[in-house]
Amino acid sequence: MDDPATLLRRGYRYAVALTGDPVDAEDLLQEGWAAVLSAGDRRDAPYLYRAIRSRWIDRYRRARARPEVVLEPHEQAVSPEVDRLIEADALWAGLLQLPEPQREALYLHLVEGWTAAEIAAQTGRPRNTVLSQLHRGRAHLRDWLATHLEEAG
Amino acid sequence: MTPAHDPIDDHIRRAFLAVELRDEVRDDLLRPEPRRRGRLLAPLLLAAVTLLTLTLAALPSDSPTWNVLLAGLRGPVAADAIPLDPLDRWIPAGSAVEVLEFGLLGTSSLGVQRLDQTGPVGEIAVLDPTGWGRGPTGYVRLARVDGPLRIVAIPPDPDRDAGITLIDGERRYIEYLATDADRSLIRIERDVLTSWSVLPTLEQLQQHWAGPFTSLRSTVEVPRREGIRPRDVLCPYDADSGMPLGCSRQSGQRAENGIVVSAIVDGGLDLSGRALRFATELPDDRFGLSVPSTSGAQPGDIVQLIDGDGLALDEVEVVVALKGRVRVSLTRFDVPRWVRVPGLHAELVAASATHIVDARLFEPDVPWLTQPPYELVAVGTDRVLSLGTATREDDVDTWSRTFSVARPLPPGWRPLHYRVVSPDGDAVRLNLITRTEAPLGPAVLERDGTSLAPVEILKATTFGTLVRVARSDLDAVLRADGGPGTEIVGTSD
Repeated sequence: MDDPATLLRRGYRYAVALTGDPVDAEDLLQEGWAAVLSAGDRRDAPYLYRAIRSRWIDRYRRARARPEVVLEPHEQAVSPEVDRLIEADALWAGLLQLPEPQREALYLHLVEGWTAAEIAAQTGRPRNTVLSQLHRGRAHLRDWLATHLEEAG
Repeated sequence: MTPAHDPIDDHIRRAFLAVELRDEVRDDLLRPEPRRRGRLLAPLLLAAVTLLTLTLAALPSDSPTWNVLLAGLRGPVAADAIPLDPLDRWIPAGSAVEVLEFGLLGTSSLGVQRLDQTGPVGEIAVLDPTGWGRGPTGYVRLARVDGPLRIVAIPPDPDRDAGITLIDGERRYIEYLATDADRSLIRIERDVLTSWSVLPTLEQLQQHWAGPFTSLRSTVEVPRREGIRPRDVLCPYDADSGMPLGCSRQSGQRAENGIVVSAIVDGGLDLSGRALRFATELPDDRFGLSVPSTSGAQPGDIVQLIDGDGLALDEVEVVVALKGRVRVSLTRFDVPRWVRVPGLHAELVAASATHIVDARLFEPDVPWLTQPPYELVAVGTDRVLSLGTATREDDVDTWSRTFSVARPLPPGWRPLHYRVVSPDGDAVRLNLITRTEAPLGPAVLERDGTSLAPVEILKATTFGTLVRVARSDLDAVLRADGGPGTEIVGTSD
């Protein structure tokens, strides 16, 4: 079992993979961590991930129920937090273009080492869908990287 | 088949691993949780207090030992002290309290879920006398109104010198009653409390929340302590009249000491000179208003629901509680309330002249019913109305699905949200957002322990429960689904 600091680090990366936004990820991690604490001894990554994902879906539901209002121009700019993400690794600019399910699947598969079946169990998606998401995510990033390198000379 | 090694995998893995949690966030989350430690310490403290009580009780009332001990306990303010039961030293549930300070975000581990006002209040729900204190992101400080004195329990706060360091160094006003690792309980004279240096005055607190806006589009920095976070939905309302001024998403800019909020209020109301306060969206599909809690409304009251746009919807029943079972009422924005967000499962996309209704539903509510026929059900506050066979349209996006039906809605009737069900003989199958850990098979949907309808659990995940329910029970099931106190309880052996 991970120590709490390691578990938090993993949970944060998963939350970033889910949201694509470091600030949202911090909030999700905080809420998920509160759930983990209240669950007693269930301090493992899968439980934390489920808690984070559940809250992410709850947020999405709320967002669907509340129409957005156009914000002032400065709010449309890329936030410093997202800039920080891209600074950490330029590939994030491509990762952020992926649909959330693809990004999530790539994280769980490539970083956590989960199989497609395990990801399917976690996300409630069919295994074939997960395989498709992994394939499409890779393909998109491969294309993005090629374009990016070409533009970079 | 996944390739054994794809070069792009290394790039992706490296990008994910480059993300690091900020140290201050990590440290904040790893801070020991008061409640859990309190659980361990509480029995020890209780045993010590009980032993002391029994020892004192065994002494003759006029013994020198008793008098010395009593004087020591009472301290300099003994003449005005209110006798306390040794076992009642923490603020018990239902106490009359005064909220001195708050900055608490809702977490399930805290006894006080959220306090929306400072200043005198009546009884508030202190749910768990041992569970209150500092949470992962906030704090709350209460005083119990107790005759001429106030009892103040103080959770340690590393960011503020909240120990017993008092104004003017005059300790004679303070009496320690008890202390443990998480908090100290003191008795303090009322007048002293109002000028206690470590506590901001009520006026200072109000300034954090209310400020004169000068235009419809205004920017203000809300201190971090107020608990408003980037992308929270903010609903400004007039601090004086309680008049709702619409809702807006705020900007997501963190500032050094808080968050820059840019509120754009739809509705054309002039905010010049108004003192504003904000409602914020909260977990569990509800939103809360930071408003005075002076209403005497009871759970179950039927009130007017105003949605996120400030539009008046149908009358709805007040939801009793968030997790904290806070008593709420809902008549205007000048009373606290916790309500379900309308349109939780769907939003009305269009209502054409031919009465075609399209409803977009959230993805997890649909995949378990991937095979037609579909039936769209409109859920209102007064009834549940079937709109007949629904046709699934093109997917709108990754998460949503669109359905359409041809049956018109009754004139003037607007549902709160839509649900898709799948006819199954005399029953229907549908996805409930109420989660369960009960095994597959027969079960009962309950609300606050009262049985509402038998259901058959077909599938259960962390995101909901697929059930089969008699059509005659559909109304009761949909009204209760996702609400507080609603559970699916297994009945199979």
